[in-house]
Amino acid sequence: MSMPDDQPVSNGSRPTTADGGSSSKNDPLIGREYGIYRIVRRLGSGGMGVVYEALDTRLSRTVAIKMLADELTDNDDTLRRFENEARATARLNHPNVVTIHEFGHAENHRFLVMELMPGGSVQDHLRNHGSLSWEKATAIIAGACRGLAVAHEAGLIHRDIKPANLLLSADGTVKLGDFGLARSVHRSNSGITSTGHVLGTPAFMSPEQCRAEMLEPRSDLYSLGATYYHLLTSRFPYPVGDPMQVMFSHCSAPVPDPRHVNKDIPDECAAIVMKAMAKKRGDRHADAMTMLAELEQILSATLALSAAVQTPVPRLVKPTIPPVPVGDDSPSLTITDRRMPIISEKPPARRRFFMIGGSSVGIILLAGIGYVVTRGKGKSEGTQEEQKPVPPDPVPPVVTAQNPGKALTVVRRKSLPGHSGEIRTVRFSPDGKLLATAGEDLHVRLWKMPEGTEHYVLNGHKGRAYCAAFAPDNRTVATGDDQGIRFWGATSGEQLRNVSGLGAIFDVAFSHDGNQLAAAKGYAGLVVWTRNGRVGLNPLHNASLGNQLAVAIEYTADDRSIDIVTFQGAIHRFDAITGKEVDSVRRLRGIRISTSYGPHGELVAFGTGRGPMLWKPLTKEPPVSLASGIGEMNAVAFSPDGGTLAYGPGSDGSFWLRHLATKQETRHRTDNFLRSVAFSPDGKTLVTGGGHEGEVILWDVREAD
Amino acid sequence: MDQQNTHLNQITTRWPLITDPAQFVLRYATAIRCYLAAIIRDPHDLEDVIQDFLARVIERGLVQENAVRGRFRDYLKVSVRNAALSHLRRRSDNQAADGQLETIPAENDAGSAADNEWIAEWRGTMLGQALEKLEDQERLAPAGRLYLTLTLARDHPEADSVTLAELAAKKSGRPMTPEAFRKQLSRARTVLANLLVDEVRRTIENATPEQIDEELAELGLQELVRPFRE
Repeated sequence: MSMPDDQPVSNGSRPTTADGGSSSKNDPLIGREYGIYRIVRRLGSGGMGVVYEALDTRLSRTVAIKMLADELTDNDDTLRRFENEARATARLNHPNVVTIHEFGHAENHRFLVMELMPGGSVQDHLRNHGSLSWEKATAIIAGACRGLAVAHEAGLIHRDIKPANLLLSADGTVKLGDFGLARSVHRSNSGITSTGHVLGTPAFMSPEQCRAEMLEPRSDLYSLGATYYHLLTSRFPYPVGDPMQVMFSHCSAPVPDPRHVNKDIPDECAAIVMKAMAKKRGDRHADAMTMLAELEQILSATLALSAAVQTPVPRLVKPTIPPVPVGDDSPSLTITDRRMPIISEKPPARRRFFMIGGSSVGIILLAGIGYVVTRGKGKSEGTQEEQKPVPPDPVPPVVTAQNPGKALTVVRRKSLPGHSGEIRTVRFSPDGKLLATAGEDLHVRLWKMPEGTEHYVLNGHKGRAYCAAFAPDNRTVATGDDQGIRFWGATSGEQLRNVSGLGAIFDVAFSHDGNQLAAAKGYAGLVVWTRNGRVGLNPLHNASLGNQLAVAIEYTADDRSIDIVTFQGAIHRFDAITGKEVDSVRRLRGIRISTSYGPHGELVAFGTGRGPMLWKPLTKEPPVSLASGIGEMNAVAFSPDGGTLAYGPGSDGSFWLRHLATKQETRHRTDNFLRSVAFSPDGKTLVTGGGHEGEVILWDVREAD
Repeated sequence: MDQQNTHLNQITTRWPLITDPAQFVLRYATAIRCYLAAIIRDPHDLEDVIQDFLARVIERGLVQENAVRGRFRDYLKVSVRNAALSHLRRRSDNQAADGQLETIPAENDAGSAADNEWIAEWRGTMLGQALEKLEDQERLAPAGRLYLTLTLARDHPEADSVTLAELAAKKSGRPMTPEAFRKQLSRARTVLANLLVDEVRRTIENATPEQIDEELAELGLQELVRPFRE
């Protein structure tokens, strides 16, 4: 085994864009022009070449130019890595990733033009200013984690995460840089070059990288954990010296505890370091979002504490939650503003109910947790005063004991042709004018309602399309498939954005104010983003559910919480801002097939071989069987007024409408096995989907005799 | 340099699958550390021995002082043990380290605590490597779901195939019948068994099927592998 010359051993230094770097008067490139770029001064040098500050004479902006060293231009491996860096980074467009402007060559020089990072690297900052507080270290690693999450989402592994590659903008934002070693996660990439050199920086290399084995995103998380250790302690995780010894330590020595160096480091920070640096990949954080969630929890607690005592927290970087831009359809209330009511408000005295149009997973307001809802765009504050719920027209009023509503029946109106596979989701837009159907034939279709005419076919899903959700403004649709999330224009049918590399997304939900998007990501649990414009997403937090499979997701009416329903029959409630789990309910015995939430906080769930069971979460009451002996249920939905439950299928493909107050039931036949069901927001239409041939049927809802 | 090349050539000739002795040492780093920790009490001596051993590997490859044929596992243990002895003997010239020397087990220490530690870590490394290879294969070609079925069966030992098939279907986004799950699980175990056999074969000079069986048995892997070997 040998180490290439450009891999530093002891300090991990790499080409940087450090401000205040040495400028050499003898450097022949100073003052020269390469195309539109005039070299101004030398910033630093590293293994691959020299980095200069330059002036873009066309746009009158300063940039950084990394010039590949002359002696390396004939080296195919190096050239390939240089170009690789350009392409890899250019694909990423995120506040926590250094922007690449251009890659080119002139006069036998190959160069990379990128944004100038006047703050230098984190390594430079440590060298010039000494150690960091744990708060600053955590904020830096959280920013880096966001950049890493984006890279991993795009299918890239960085392979050289370390303090020298975490760069600081003028406002202190941390950005990932130097993707020269990045490689696609889908390629059989190992940590070794074609000439047998191990790649990376030994002080921060994962065990599998040391062994030149196949790398994957969790390899980057190890390096980030090692970097975090370094920022917290100003020491390397393992004593640096001979590279082989360092690598041997990464492979075999106990995971270092930063508290052994500094006992004032919080336990939570140490836990993150030690988990990220687990020897086995399976023992580390599942992905960057999971690690980010834990980091955000620490930072949120710091923010809450500082707000409570009104003590400002010194910040090296911007607040971790970016504001929603003004001018978008989403509310003008910024996320940071939303945080304050959670800290300073007391829980309201009485609970309120609120409902939006039907879907197989409808509105949630769990009993026992007090939230006051006021209708209106963006308003989600709670108060202690009683407020009358203001449901949107034309949603029918919620039934009460005094006014239990009427029993319902349905009459078949028409079939909606087009799908050829099982229909996994049927969902109305909030205004009821569109219906989305997601099917195993890889398509999502949009239909105009109430006519039931085809509006658009949303093509391009990878694998099965599991879910669809409309943004509160009715303009945007988010769909989930086997590889991630896609955004579509509801009126144009055009795909606006593809967020791939997430894995299977079983359910998505917009917050009611449109500021957030949450996804049920199977065994990876909950993932939450803040929205940046119509399709922009900034990772906020995520939460793992261990060995439970997250299959359905919904925001509470006030957007303060997110409920995740698992295949194993549990409900977990998370704080929408911090991602911290705040409550959970006991599991329903048997395997949950589908759920629906009623307007009074009740929940209906199904178990294998059982009929529907009515269940009130967070109470001591046991589930109540609504009917028995009717086999496995696939779909359930409450009517908008909460008085009726639609569920099915029976063994012959039929489904039922059951009026809960009177237990009056009507049975209806379909030609196919029911898989999904939903009421329109006005309660006048029922949609059933499912079966093996993609049948979608519209039914007119009427009062039963 | 010639001597180094000669030694390295010997290694690669005898174990042609080992192309880089240093990489191989890193592969079994945990076993080496645990074995040394079992025979050397002083943690500072432990780190010094490791440093010496690694420096020798880099400089000279895995130089054999006594001809040890057959299993690389034995060879590596002898090399590590000799590195410990050499270091402690050098120390005993200046310091009283005879007590430490006495704790170094004999070359043939089968059944000793240190040897048991060595075997346990070696076995763990082989299993871990085989599982990670299976996971890596699935990452590149997810359709097989072999790693998925194996880990689901491992994590839910009480679940029946109906339950496991549902879990696999949900996690992979593709339907799976209980029968298909059972078939894939059997296939996964076969693939894992063969990966384990490959790992073992790498570490035995001119491995014969009997030698592989013997090594699997000594490592406690035979019962795991035998029903599924192709």
